[in-house]
Amino acid sequence: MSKKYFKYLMKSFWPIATVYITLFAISLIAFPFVIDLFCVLLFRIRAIGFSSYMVAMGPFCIFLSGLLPLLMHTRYYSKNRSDVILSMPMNRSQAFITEGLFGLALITTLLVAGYAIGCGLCNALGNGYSALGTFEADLLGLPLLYLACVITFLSSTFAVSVANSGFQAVVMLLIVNALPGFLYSLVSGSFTSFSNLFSVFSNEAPNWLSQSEVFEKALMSAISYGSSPESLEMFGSAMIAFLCQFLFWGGMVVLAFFEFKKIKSENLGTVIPQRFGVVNSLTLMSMLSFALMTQLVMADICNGSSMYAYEFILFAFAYFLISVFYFVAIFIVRRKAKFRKDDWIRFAIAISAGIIVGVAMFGITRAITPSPSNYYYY
Amino acid sequence: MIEITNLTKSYDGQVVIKNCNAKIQDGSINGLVGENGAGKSTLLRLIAGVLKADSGSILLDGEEIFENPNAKSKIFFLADEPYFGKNAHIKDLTMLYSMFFDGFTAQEFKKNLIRYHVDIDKPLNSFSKGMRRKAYLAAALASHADIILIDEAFDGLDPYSRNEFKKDLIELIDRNPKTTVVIASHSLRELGDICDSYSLVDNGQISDDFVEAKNLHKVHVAFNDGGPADLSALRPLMVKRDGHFLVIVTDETEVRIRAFFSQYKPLMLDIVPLTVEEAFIYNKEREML
Repeated sequence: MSKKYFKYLMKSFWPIATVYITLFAISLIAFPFVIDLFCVLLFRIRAIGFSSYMVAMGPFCIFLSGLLPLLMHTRYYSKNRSDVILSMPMNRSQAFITEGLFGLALITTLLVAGYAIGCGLCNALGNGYSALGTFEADLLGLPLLYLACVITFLSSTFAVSVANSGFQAVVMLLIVNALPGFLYSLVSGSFTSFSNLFSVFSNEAPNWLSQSEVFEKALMSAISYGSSPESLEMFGSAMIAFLCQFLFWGGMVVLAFFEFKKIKSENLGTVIPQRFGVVNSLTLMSMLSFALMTQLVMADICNGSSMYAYEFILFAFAYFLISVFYFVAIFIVRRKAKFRKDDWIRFAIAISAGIIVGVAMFGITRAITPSPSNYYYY
Repeated sequence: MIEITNLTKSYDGQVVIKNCNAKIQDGSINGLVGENGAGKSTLLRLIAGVLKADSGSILLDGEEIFENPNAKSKIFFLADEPYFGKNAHIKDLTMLYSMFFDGFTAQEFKKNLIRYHVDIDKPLNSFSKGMRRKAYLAAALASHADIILIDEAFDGLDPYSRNEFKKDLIELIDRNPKTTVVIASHSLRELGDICDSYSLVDNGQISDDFVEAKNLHKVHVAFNDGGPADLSALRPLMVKRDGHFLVIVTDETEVRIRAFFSQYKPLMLDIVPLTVEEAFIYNKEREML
């Protein structure tokens, strides 16, 4: 690692890092309030307070971790930036390791500071729940979430660094981002079930079950996918997380196919135009959030109920908030966002596509759902 | 001394630098000329250690440059369009270069910027192309690196700033006789004013001192009667008649040129060296013949 370069990155990135951390904290605070309001107004249900909140927030954080290298690359890994940084007296590996460590430091600060501020304010405001759900879920989930974010960040950095073209980079990002999101949701779902079951056993039958039996029962329950609502919830959340991440990065690949045909890549594998990273991310996030919201509305209209209703709401809002997040970040960092006419047309197409995908998703969900009894509200 | 041996570099299967050999002496200003896409920028990036060569070596005082921080600490590379981030200011440049280059002096950098009329408080992206170029050149001059590599040095500069920069470069070499400057540029007239030697990058090859090596001559000759009508024996690359005067460019030897014209009893015969720009143009024309 190059200490000089790390210091330079710290000094050059702190304004944008501050913006990110602040926006992340604000998102964490605003998230539950907005979702709750939305659910009560539209679906007459309350979404807050569920342990699956953690499952929904996970992909949100993982998403940020996966996007961070892409944004770092789009802003700082261009050919011209390479001319500056790689001509400095340090090894290429030193430069990449320093950037990797810096990214990790940024993610740690983002999660720890953002989470601390967000949860702290949430609790201070008196709504009694933390951003990830229950206290047990926080204890188990936060290190797990951090680990998932770190893995995603590192694998994304690796993908972008080793790819020979922007197209390759995005294809690799698809793989490395969709998988951690899915695994995290699955494992954290298990942990959540575990922590919930532990609380139930501890409160209701502490005297006649030994701790080992509690552990065994809880663990067995957590890892088995029976027909219980909790395991369905866990698996459903993981599938939705996977689907969202897959749709997002898959969409990136499709867009990359058209965009990168025009762009000649430098063999450093670092030429990803800035416009691609930001505008296309926003386009796809708009599409996703509208797809998920359409799915929800359709479910409500057609069935009067919806499977995994709250997960859909959470995910829809997660992606919607990421879109807003980046819009705000662009406005703050650049002072004035420059969007061309075709960018707005692109967003309009994305929203229309989102609605179509949402209808299709509803159809698929209905087709694969085994029986109407599996539709339920929380 | 920079020693380039059997250097080859290709992009996506297309060979840009092909088995090149060259030596750049200490304490000199070297001009790197060539057509667009000839490989000048690639060569500079290879020397700066930004790119990895497919094969061959580039040594600085016997040390390999690529992946060698010690050797790279002696080299200051200024790319054609260096990128420092959207909102970078002069202070960011100062911070970066003073962190990495021990010899970089912030005071001298500031002094250069003031002399070049660069507003040190504005962000770089608010500058015009020429103004940004002046800021980067000011940094190069303040780097005190042993080797200064500049791509498109005069791009966007106004005539006054070009002149100032040329004077500053010459002064720099006077003050630090060991400093070596390599400039890639299409402004051959500017290079002609300051360079000690020139290298031509063409079809992936480098030819040292191409002006002399190509053996081109520019002949000014005057006759009473307009002189010879047929000049084909001299294989001229350029012929310009103006009354009694005749100007031709040819790659014939001086002896043959004098022998040819002596039979027509010229009033005046002068064989002058070509400027870098003329040498470049006529050399290209000769290749196309």
